[in-house]
Amino acid sequence: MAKNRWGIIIGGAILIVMLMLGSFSIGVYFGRLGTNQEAPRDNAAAPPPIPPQNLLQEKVGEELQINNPDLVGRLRFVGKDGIQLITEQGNKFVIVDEDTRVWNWSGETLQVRDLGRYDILAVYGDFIQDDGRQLRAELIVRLPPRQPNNP
Amino acid sequence: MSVMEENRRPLDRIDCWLALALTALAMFVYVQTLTPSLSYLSPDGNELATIPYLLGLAHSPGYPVYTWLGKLFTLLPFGDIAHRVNLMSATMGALSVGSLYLLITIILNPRIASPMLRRTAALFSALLFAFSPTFWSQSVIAEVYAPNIAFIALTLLALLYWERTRRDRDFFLFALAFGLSLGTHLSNLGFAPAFVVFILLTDPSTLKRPRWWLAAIAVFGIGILQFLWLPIRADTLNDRIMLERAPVTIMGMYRYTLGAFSQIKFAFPIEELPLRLVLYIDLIRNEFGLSGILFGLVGLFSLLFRRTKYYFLLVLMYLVHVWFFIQYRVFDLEVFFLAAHFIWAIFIAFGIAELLRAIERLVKRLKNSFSVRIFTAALAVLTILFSLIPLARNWYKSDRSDDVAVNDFYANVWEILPENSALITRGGVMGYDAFYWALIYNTRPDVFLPTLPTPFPVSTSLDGLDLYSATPVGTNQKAGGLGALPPDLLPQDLWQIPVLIGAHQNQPGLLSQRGRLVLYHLTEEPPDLIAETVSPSTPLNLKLGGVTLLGIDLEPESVESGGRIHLTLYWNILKPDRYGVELSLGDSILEAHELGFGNLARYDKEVGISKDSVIVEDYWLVVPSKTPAGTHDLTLRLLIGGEVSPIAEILVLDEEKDMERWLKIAGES
Repeated sequence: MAKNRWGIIIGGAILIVMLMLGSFSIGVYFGRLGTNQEAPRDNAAAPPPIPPQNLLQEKVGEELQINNPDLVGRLRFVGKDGIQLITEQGNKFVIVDEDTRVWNWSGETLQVRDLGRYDILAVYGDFIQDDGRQLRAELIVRLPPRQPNNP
Repeated sequence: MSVMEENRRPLDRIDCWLALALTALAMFVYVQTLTPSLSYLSPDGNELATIPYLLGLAHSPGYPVYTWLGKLFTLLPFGDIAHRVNLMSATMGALSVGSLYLLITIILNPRIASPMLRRTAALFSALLFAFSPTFWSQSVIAEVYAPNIAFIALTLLALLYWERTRRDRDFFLFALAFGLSLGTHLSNLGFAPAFVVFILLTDPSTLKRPRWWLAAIAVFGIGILQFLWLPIRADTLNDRIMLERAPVTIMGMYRYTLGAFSQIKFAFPIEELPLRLVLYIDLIRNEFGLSGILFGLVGLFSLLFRRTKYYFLLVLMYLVHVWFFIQYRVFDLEVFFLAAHFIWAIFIAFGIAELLRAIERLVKRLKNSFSVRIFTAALAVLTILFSLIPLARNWYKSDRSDDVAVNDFYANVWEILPENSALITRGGVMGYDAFYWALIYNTRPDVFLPTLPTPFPVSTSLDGLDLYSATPVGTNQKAGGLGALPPDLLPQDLWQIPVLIGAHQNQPGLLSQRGRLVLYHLTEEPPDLIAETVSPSTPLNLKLGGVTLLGIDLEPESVESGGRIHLTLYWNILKPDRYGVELSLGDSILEAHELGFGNLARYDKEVGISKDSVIVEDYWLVVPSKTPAGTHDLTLRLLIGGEVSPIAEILVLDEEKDMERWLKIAGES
């Protein structure tokens, strides 16, 4: 029984540390990103079609194939070396570096810091390293918000 | 009954039957939603579908057990090879579900819940895990994750079996299973500390038996001897990055296995870890919902107080796994947490058992044994029905049975490539969508695949061959990209003219860069992009914004599903600009491209386009093999926001089964 008591004490300590780390992390998350943003909806990851902006088409260029972004999703957060997107396939991490270009849907140049939480983004990039499990963004396009009649 | 006796109780026959039934149900669902053959869902899935048949060497860390097990499945007498390997994932995934049920019923103490409630909690969790989106997605494609979960479950079952019997041979069976499990994912090695703690808690006297430990380590070593497969089959590697760390020396073997992916391990600074942890919590929410997180937490406390020894086993396994993978920088992170989700499902079972137990206590106040029994049975049924909600909710997303685009595209590629041509594809792991056919079926041996034998083909190997490519080449090629071609393989100024376009997968978020199924003809001469006068067989004169579609030629007007139509579009550009064109068959988008296939500007510069010139787009278009038989409208619209205009009707036939057609074209009678 004494052995079990020690087991419970040690196990309980582990559990408390787990809960504290989890709570701390959630606190850091909301501390960094705020709580006054629109909460993601179930269909939040469903992207709208890319808008008819010839300027954008011009800038994207043929090699990136405007209608074939490598990833479309809502911005979850901006990290130190990348961004996290909520997509239909779950949360995806995309590497952003100094060569990454960021544009508004109308073709204006933006900075990564201009992107807001839950902005809908189309990412064009390159799957790199080893077994292709990392996407490095070459171009990020901020798409317009979903319109009620825009399927 | 003492705790020791409870631990040693044999599994009830009912539990075995229920585990079997769960396995059968999961298998049925996975087979119904199975990817028929090749797929782009996983970046390396097509390699993992090919390597087992060849008994070759997969990408790091080599996955020997996966390869051998896959070889057994390739001996099945139906479907193509990729289909059979996909079936391995379904089978191993289903076995994982049945094993999860057994694990939970073994660990759940009879003192915690009555047999009915224990089984209800186990069924609930096993079903919840079976139809959670990520595990389901990995059970319907050729990948290592479902087999890996089955091996983790097998290892745990062996460990718990030894715990009950305390026979040395059962312990060595566990050690062997653990060693073998590294051949489906090397990260399982991180479970070792948890296993050691559990063994010591179960039988501290083993500390006084160093020979017993040495024997167990030796048996574990037999399991990891599988990695000798690496140097033996290293000669089959054809991936540039894998060749750089070819496992032909001791250091090479280290770099291919434990030392691989060093740039993506522990890749985040400490200040990023809270965000990574939140990301992981969000992944559990994706799999099991908020209630799954809550019941898991309750289950952790239940385990701690009621089954402390198992708490240490499971929590240590869980923590090591989560700690390692929250610092792993990959695109498709969710699949790496499957083992943690598997363990979390056990926590959920304990949480559910506590809830059911509390309800049972309340119900027992009724003091009418018949009413209590009825109520308990109803509660059990309700709980199990509740666990089936993910089955309905995730079916649409997880159903890959219509993922035929890769096979449809390549089946048509092999049919239209002229004799003695060269097909340029991406190299290494990324090239197996094409290599699969050549390596397994020897399809079109006259067609040269320069990136198959080596990732460094030389330009002279292409001399005199008619060049085609299934990947953009020249300036569009990203030099450092995965599977990239050597920069000097082809002249930079070749014209790339699409001749065949596969069905647009229209699934953003897939590794869709690989979803562009286009066969290009590479020529030094400019294409016939312009005509001065045309007489299309179907005149249309459709004014679409700044362009007019003068008409089309289409043949044949009836086509077998999975076959192709030959389409010629005649355009007149009224307002010079870049236009996107999207073609659909019925409700399904077939493809989208830029008018002129991105060649107009160069053509204008080098050849010249006058205002009255007619732009001619001439190509083959794949009709997906899942298109239902019947007459469908072929519609066209300008991107983006243009109106949909019907341009033809196509009769789609379905006289031949998809698999038969693919195998026939592959060359297998």
